Amino acid sequence: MSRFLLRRLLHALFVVWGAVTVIFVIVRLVPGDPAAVMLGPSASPQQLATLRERLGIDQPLVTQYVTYLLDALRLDFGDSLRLGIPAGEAVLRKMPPTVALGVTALVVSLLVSVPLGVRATQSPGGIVDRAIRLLSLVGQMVPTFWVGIVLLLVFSRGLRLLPSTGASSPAHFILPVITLTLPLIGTLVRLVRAGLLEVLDEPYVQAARAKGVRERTVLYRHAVPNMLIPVVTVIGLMLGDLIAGLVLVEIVFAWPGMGRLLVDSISDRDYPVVQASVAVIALSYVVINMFVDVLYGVLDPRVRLGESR
Amino acid sequence: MTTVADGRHAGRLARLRIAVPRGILLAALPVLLFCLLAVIGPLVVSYDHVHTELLERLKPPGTQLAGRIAVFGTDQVGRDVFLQVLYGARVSLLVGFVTVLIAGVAGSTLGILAGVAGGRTDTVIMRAADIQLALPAFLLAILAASVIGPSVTNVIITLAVTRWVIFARVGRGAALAVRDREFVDSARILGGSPLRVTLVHIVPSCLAPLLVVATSSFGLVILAEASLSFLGLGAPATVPSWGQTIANGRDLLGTAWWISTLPGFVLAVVTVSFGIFGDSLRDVLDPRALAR
Repeated sequence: MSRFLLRRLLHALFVVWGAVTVIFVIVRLVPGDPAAVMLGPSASPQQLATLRERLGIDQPLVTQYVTYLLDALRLDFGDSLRLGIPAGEAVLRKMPPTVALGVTALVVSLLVSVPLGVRATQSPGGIVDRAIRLLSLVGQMVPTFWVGIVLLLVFSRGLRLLPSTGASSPAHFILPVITLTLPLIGTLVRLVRAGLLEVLDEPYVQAARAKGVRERTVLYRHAVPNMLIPVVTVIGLMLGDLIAGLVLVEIVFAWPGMGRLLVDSISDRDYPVVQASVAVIALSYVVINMFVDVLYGVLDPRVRLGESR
Repeated sequence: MTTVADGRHAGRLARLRIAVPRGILLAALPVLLFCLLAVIGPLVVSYDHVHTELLERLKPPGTQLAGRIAVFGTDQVGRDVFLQVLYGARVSLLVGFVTVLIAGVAGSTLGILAGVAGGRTDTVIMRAADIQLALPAFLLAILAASVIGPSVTNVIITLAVTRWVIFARVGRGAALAVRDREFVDSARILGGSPLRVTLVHIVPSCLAPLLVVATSSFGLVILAEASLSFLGLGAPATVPSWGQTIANGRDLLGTAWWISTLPGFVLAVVTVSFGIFGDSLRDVLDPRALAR
């Protein structure tokens, strides 16, 4: 087990290094002077030189890279040009609303997807199955930001049932969460359905049925937990889509989180904050995926045993 | 007796292969219509995205304008929303087509190469794909777009860079699946060079799954482009694009609901159709999936 953990940790470190390096490559190696981009066309040569020195971009590239890596270790990306506080701090402050929204969306989509997927397997190829399959495809492909706008228009502007923007009460969660869950449910339902169809042929399910266990118990006590194991790994991968969804939803619903901070910082040319947000999001992505991998190993001993061989 | 049974069996298989699900035709229709309108539309109707007509601002859908009817209404500077959609379709189609072409050719080639060659080549290519996945694709696209600035070319480059991995994975998987089959071994034993065996015998077997990936990628790329343009990081403000038109109407939901919702609806129909089209294509090309 400890060897398995160590391997996962090393892999995660490698991936974090890769992600941070990719950010460096994109931000520093792209043609153009970052100082000129940050200050805009009206900057004087004096200002440009000062900022270049402050950013360290007058140094050789290798020196820049090493300094950058050491700073990134401490999440130090310099001060925000707009807010006047360290960029890393600015990002971490905006983290709780985003995490709250993301976690709620993930939990809700699991709670909806499992029963829907189970229902779809009860008559494979039947009308209900095909309808669920079609709807999940629609959920996957429909533009998140448009769904958010339509929901706003109908439930907030039209019916005046729900608050439109902001995050000050539980009611504020409803529309953003619905918007975010649609693509997640679309993906999850198909996974649950496929996974369950495979598991239902297993001997232990037949054994449970032969014992005379009620069908409901067979499904939820025997089949679903085993089917969920592969689903757990995919949740790690789905996180990428969830992050994209969060950025768009935070813009549509003016949610005070990291996604909106990222987009605002881009239009304000606040590059330290842009880098810090991308780094923090990428880091969370890698860490969560590592936990998911480890969890997979804990839930299914075959995974960690198979790897140590 | 056996021949009769076999014959019946073969007949059933044959019919299964030919049976085209109705879904594919239903989904192909909007896809075709979208491509046609994107190509022909701008040739028939002229539209100037920079020109404003302040007297005609915020007119609801169906309003009679000088010489024509604004089917989708007009925006806050009097531009016809339907014409923006028509011209925006060109950007969507261009970005979708070129991105899928670049990512598809590069990704499939690398993937099939990894699958056929194996060993160190395989390790290097797939490790590169792993690093690529270290950053969520959308985040990478946002970061790149924010640094390079909004332009159609940049959108194509960033989306192609984030998209090749899926083609590489599917291509590799398909190549691995046929690499050691009898017909490929026979071709090798008969003296076929590695290049010939790959091109003539392995590549054709990989085309079906790659085609499915290409179709669904097309929809996803169009969606990603619209999302980036919605954030102001896709097509530049001087070029009409769907994401930009939708973003444009966001602050006017109370007074002019049509600016955001109608173009968004068109976008949704197109992306969903590509999804259903790709899904039905999988069923047609992979008869085993139908039997399941």
